[in-house]
Amino acid sequence: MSAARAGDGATSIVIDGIGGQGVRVIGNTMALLLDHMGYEVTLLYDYDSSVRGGMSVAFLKYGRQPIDNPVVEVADVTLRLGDRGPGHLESRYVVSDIDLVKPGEDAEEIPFLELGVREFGRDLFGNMIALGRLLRLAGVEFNDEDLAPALPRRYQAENMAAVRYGYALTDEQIRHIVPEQAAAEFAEDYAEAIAAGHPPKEAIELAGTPRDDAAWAG
Amino acid sequence: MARRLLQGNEAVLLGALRAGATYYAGYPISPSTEILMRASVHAADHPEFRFLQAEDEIASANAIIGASLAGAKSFTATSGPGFSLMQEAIGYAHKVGVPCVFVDVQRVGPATGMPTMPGQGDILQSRYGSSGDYTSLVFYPSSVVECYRYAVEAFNAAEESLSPVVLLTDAFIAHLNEVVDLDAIEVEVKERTLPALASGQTRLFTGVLVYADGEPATADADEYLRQYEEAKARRLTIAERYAFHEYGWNTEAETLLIAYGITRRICQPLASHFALWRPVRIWPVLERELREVAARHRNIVVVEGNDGQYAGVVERVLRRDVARVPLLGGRMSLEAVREGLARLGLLAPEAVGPAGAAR
Repeated sequence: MSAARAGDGATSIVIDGIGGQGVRVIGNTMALLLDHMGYEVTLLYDYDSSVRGGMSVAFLKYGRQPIDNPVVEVADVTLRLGDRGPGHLESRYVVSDIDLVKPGEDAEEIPFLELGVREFGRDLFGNMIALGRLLRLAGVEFNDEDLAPALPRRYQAENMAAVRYGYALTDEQIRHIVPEQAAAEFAEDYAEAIAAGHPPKEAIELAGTPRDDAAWAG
Repeated sequence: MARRLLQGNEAVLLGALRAGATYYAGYPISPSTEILMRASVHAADHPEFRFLQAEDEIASANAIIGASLAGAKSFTATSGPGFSLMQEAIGYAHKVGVPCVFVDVQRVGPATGMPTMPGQGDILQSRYGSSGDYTSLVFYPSSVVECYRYAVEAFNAAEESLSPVVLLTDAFIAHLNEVVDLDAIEVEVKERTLPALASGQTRLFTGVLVYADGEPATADADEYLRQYEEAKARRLTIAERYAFHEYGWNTEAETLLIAYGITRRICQPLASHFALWRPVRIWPVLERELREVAARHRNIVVVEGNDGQYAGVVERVLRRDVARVPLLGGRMSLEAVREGLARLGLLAPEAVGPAGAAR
């Protein structure tokens, strides 16, 4: 799938999540990459004042002409890591973590956090896998020289590999990954832990812990 | 400097530095805090640039007044609640004639309100927030590039008018990142006009009305009028040099939209349906320009992130009915604008798609 262009000629991306999930990291990295590639870019964050657990949305538009309205109303692609975004938002295509797809949407589900742990040893690499998939769906063809300066300096090699992994995911691979119920529960528990105020590292541990474990009580 | 992705708040700081600012005092408050943060980082590497994180907004406002009197081009940044606290100091700066810049990044108020949500509710506060009569110069950019450009102009206008100048933005413009090339922007910088304290001249700084020799004039109406008219005339004359505004889109349309800041950007997909007039200089109101433009259109609609603050001003200037599309509670979206225009009977709901493309 390659994203269709919106009425103003720009491609519109929305990253919908909750505070602490990495919406800003993904948005910043993608915007910097597109800037390096010579695109006109607008990136606007809309967020609640709750640092963790509140709404956090990035509106990203890019194209070859200057962009006038930076607020996205119809997204060519929405990356949904949480579901707190504006109610009026329409999405032509949604790539979502598990259990966040709404009825009638043209969408796919990928357990990004679990893939981050499974493939790269840490949940935070799930964000870069998501970015890779987002770039693929948006039809952005990039090279490593453009991507490297856009990535966070810490774990740059791992992040690069994670983006490339997400970019290379095939529909067949995604179909193979997704139906696991464990992944669905993992994502749900992780989101709940983040909403409860746990930092991501604790949340990932809690998500792998049975609900009746004493750790959840803390 | 090449093209780069830059945030509105960062652009305000860079504009201030380009204008020659050497002093910042502030107290952190969303959505303006990035200006304070970047100013502190700049100060760490540039000892000639002084930075103060004060105990509150009152102290910040008075600190930049003191710094200006001491010879520095100075500024602060805040949001609605902090701007309220600064009003007494702003009045003092008007009375004494202190050039300095107040940046107000608007959010949804009143009070703490919705701290990260975009609002435009300080339009009247930026004009009438302090006590008594005074003449305010207020600019409001609509893009990251304009945050830079009009930050420079705010400092220039402050120097020329010998008064505090307000630069309004909003949470969306402040947190918007855009690709810019600041080197490509030509700006003129006005040099400092006032001698600094300790430069050999005797100067008196008091909020009380005094004669030239420093004696109180607190019961002399004629002296009050002389000083008031002199300050007003100077600021209105200087304001004429800063008559920034925009008129365009479909200028043959029956309906003229008036929008500023982020609302002007949000309305852009309606460009084929409406004419647009955007004041960049919010105060003093661009009355002559507004009258000329309004005379060409049957309907006037003000789209703004408050409940009709600028619309009321437009109505007073034009002496005719002005329709309102208020965007309240942080709901800054084209959908909300379309709903408002449809409610007024000026846009068929099915006429324009969600992204602005004709259906």
